[in-house]
Amino acid sequence: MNFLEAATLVRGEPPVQQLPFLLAMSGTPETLELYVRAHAIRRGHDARLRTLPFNTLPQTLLSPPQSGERDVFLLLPWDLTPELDWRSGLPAERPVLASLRRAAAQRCERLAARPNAAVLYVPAPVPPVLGIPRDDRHLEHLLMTIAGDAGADCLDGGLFSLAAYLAHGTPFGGNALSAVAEAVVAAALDRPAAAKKVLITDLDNTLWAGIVGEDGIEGVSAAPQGVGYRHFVYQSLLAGLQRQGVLLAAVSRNDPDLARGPLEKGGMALGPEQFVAISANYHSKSGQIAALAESLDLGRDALVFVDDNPVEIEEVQDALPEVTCLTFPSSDEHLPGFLTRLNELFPGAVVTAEDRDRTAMYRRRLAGMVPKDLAGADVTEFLRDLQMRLRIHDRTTGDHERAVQLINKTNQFNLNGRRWSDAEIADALAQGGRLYTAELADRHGSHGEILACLVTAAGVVPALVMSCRVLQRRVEQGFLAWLMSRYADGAGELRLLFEPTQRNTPLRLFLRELSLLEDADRATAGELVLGAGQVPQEALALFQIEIG
Amino acid sequence: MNPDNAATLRAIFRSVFELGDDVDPETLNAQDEPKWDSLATVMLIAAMESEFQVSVDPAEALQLNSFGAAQALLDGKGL
Repeated sequence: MNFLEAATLVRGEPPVQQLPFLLAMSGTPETLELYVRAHAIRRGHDARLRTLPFNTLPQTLLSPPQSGERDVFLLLPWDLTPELDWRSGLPAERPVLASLRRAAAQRCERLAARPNAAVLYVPAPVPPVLGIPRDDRHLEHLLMTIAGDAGADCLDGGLFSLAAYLAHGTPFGGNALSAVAEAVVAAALDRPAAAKKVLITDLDNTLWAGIVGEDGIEGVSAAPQGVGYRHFVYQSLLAGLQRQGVLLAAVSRNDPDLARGPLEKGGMALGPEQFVAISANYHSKSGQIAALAESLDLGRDALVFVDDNPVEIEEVQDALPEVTCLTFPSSDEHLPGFLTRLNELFPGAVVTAEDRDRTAMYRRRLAGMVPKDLAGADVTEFLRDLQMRLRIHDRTTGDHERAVQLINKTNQFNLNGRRWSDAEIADALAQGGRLYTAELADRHGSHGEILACLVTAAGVVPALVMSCRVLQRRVEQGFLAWLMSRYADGAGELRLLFEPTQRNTPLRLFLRELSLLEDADRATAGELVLGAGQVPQEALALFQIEIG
Repeated sequence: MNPDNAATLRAIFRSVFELGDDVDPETLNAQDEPKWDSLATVMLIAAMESEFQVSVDPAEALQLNSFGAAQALLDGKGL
């Protein structure tokens, strides 16, 4: 949750159910309060939190709790041993490890004895007070153990920001406030969020490295080597969750056979039999997930969705706010935190025979159901929120390396699958053709040049491709609407040299949307005439079109 | 700064300083705005860090005394 989202939630009507509690921390809590209120609202409560005057945490520990109020202590190492406070500088004399340990243990004993209190501990790095690196590291571990023994829930030490703490006394930077607040609210509610039941994973670049539609079944990897390693570790965790009764499902924008291919080929930690369902089609992922929840007869709040693409995450979160969405890490450095979060959502328990059989049980249930027509969520509003900018480049002269690369490596949204050499492109351009590319950006950043189109002087389109990364954004509609407006004064129509290929289903579905094909599955090669007015103009409103 | 980021920054200022529709956030500065105290600066920094996924260090925080300064700070981070 970011700042503006939290502010919007807090400005709305508060829930009826109140959540009074004391947030006890030694740093300044003001920046955290907004997020605490917002997370409480998400969980159906109006947080009525009391905070402490600056630097009065030790006195609070010595005072009895207020009647009927829950205490949530959010502690840092220097709340256990004040000598470790960065803001005090290093002590003139080096303290002794044993005395630090004793002081921390005494304070934690008081905490453990305090009725109706929850303790969160952030194992922030401590200043090198002991002067020997090994001892200082040992001290950090020791404090975490003491806090843990007193019943503290240890959060990620990386949430602490020394810069924020030194600058203004708040121990957390703006990027960490939401995660800290979420833990505070869970502690105030005295129960973790209900354990989830279903993990729904994306496939390409999540369950495995690579895009099966582009790289082929042999080209993707989740092996314990090279680029596959992160995905191998993820799959091994999923395999363990499935054994303890968690249902696994997959959603993908892909052809069903292609999506299942890598799992059926074998050699991965997971096989298709471990999934209760593998949903692969070209509907929105939120639509696929909603249909899956209905088929399984499970509430959406029991679902966790994992995807590497932040846009897919946002689309699902926007359409299905009850679903917990996690972004698959883009680097190995973020893998441990991601896996920890997954384990938190699916806490291990005693595994029963029924747990082990749960996947098979639900598979039997799904096998007996009539497939539903997946209407999919209307993502127009979501797409509008993305504030997309489509910059169209005329690459007729100058560099057209990226355009040729796109045409020659794209399989799924490809008009005919034809590959072009540089010389062939140059020849087409010499005869009056024009080569366009389109570059997409949105409020998340740039997606680079994702579309290429070659048009001859006679208005024939022998090449039109678009990266599958942006399939759901209606870029193809926006671009064709723009292109038609350019050619309306001339031929008034475009003729598309279409040919079905094994993999260009997304392109065929698009042509069917334009009424150029009757049946996307039984299309034959030919010249398709696209007249003015055949391309929906609404898509243009989703983009700010710029000419590069 | 691109138009989207500028709009987000204006929304942050509106929210942190609770500005009415008749106030243009771009005119705000610490000297003339009574709500702009040290706590507001801290809130502003936390909001900018959250929305733009940046870190603001203490030296940069000291320069943060107007909408233009916030814009310049983000410009300096390539936003």
